[in-house]
Amino acid sequence: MSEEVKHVLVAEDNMATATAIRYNLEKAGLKVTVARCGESAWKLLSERDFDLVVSDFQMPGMTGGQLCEKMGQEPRLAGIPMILLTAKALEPDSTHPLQVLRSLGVVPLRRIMPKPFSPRELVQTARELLEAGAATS
Amino acid sequence: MLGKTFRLELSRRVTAYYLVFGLASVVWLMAGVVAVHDAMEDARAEKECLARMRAAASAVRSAAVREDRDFQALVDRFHSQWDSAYCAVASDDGHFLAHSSIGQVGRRQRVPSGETATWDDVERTRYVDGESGVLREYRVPVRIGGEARGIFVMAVPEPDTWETVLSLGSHAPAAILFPMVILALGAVALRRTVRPMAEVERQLQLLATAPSGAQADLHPIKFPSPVGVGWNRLVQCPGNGSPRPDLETRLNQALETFRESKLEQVLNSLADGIAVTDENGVITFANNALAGFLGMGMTGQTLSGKTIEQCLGLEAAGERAAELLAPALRGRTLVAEIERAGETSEGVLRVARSPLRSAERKANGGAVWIIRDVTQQKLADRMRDQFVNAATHELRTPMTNIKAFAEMLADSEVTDVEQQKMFCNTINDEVTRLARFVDDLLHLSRMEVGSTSLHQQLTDTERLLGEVVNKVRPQLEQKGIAFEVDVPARLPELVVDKDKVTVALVNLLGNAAKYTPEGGRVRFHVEVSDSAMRIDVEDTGIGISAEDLPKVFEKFFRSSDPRVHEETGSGLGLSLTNEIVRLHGGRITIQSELDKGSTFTVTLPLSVEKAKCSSA
Repeated sequence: MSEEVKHVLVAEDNMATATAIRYNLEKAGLKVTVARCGESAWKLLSERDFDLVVSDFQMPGMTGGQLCEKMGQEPRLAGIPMILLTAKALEPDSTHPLQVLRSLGVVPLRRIMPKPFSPRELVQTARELLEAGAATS
Repeated sequence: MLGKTFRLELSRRVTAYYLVFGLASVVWLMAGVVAVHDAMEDARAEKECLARMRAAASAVRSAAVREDRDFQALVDRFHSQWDSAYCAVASDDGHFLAHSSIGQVGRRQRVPSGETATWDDVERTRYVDGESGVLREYRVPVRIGGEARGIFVMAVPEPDTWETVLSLGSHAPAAILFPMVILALGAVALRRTVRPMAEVERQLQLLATAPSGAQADLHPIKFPSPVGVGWNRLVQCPGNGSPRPDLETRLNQALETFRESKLEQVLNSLADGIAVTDENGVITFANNALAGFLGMGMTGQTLSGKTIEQCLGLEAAGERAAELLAPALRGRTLVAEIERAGETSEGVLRVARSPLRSAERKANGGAVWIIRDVTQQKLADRMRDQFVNAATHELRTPMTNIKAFAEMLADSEVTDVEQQKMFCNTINDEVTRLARFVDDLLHLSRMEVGSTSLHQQLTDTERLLGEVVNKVRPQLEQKGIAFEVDVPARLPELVVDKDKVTVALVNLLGNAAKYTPEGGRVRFHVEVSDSAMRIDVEDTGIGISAEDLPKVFEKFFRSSDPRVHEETGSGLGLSLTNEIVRLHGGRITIQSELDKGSTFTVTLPLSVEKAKCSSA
């Protein structure tokens, strides 16, 4: 297991939520960069290397789903694990994350967490994904 | 005989009675006339005899006084003159001195026995003489110097009734003929009057004697009298004499038609479309509503003969719709929704097909189709889904934060008091935000449903505006935004819901404050005209793009402009404000340019009709 600090990209338009995520991930020993929307997240992805992406699903402009899709198309980014947070209820409809992921083909290293979420669980999932991601890279 | 008489028709009987009683009356009258005549004749004859007797007595006395004593000549004269049975003069001792029958002279007068009558001194006796019939013998004393010295006797035959009658003989023809003619005419008139009734009666008699169940041959009669017309109406064949059909058949027919037309009426009154098809899918009945849905005219008749597939466009409508046509599934009831995008109509139809069963519950291949236009419902469903999605997000976001920070607080590793405070404040803020959102949502829902009533009262407008300004001033000052307030000195009192109008204006000013960067300017301008009050909220903020402008009043709408997202907002504020203004009978208009600023203008009418104060 590498000793370097893992870098997490958080894409979240709500300030308070972003703060909470940042606090918890930093407390878990991770480095966090916050993007306030999908576009800036995408830009950051192309500029730097990240080990994990935590993204809100519903954002104005580029949604988390779209971000995921774009990442999947980029070979460099396809291997990066991703957690999608969604406030949508669990009704299946065409814009639901589950459906979106299905339409992209089930990709491992992707998790969906409903809002409200437990920060503890988030950190746990993040750790799992980072280990899995490290194993495959 | 009597029995037979009673079986005679009424009309004939009436005529018979008329003739019989008429004749009887005539006969009685004639008998009466004859009797009277006879009596009169009798009295006259009597009176004549009496006069003659007196004349004779006088003549005999004259002769006696003259010592003529030629009584026989007198007697003969009288006898021939008067045509008597006999005349005689008798002396006072009763011996005939003279007599029309010479042989009687000298004999003693015998007074015959019989009915006697006396008039003064004349005495009369009626008696029956064997040869001559009934005779009347008159006797009158001859008085000379007041003494009865003799008697004059005369006998005449009593007038014979028959003779009297026969003397009338000359009148007889006229007397008999006249009443006969009158009676005859009467009979004819009577008969004619009674003829329609006779005809009716005849038909009724036939009906009475006809065996039960047989067709009654009642036909109209040709008499233009009330009886005839009435009968004809009863028989229900006005004038053409055709036989009346059996009542039962007609009744059944009428019921059948009535039922059918009633059913059709009912089906045509339904708002859902109904169609009946045979085993080939050809429409045998369609109601008017269906024709309306399909844009094929006003009545269901136009659809008869077409196939249901054609009409509904089922083949093109997809898998589920195709199932409706599958023969294998004929026996089951199926429901499918079809979207139609035709030239005349667009929408969603819910089609239900059930097998058509006969009275014995057997399916005969036909089907009943019930088609309902569910476009409105679908639309409502879609809107509700949108609403639920939007609301869900707005509700879950603060909850996410509350949960996250609460958990972080509970985490015993957090020792930094400042940090704890920050976490608690965040939680507090999020709760406030959530509460406000829920309130806005409720208000908006209630207003749209119409269950909120405005509590309109006469309001001190100056104070209201003052309060609004004071509420937003701190927010503006905090951001260093210049606040211009331009309100006229004198404001009319308005009849408005004070709280709601405050909410609306605070929202507008709040938005101006939120979306104007530091150093900007917000202007609050109020103007009053005859008919309305106009409020302008002008800012030098980020403005609204042309594509967002028409949507700003939509529920939950928030522009995708990231500058908008930096500020918190539920997307309900403008919806609420718009609704409030609308309920007051006013309007909001917006002028905006991206990056330059926006001006929101609210116009509230000052109409007199709104002067109804509802109790708070």
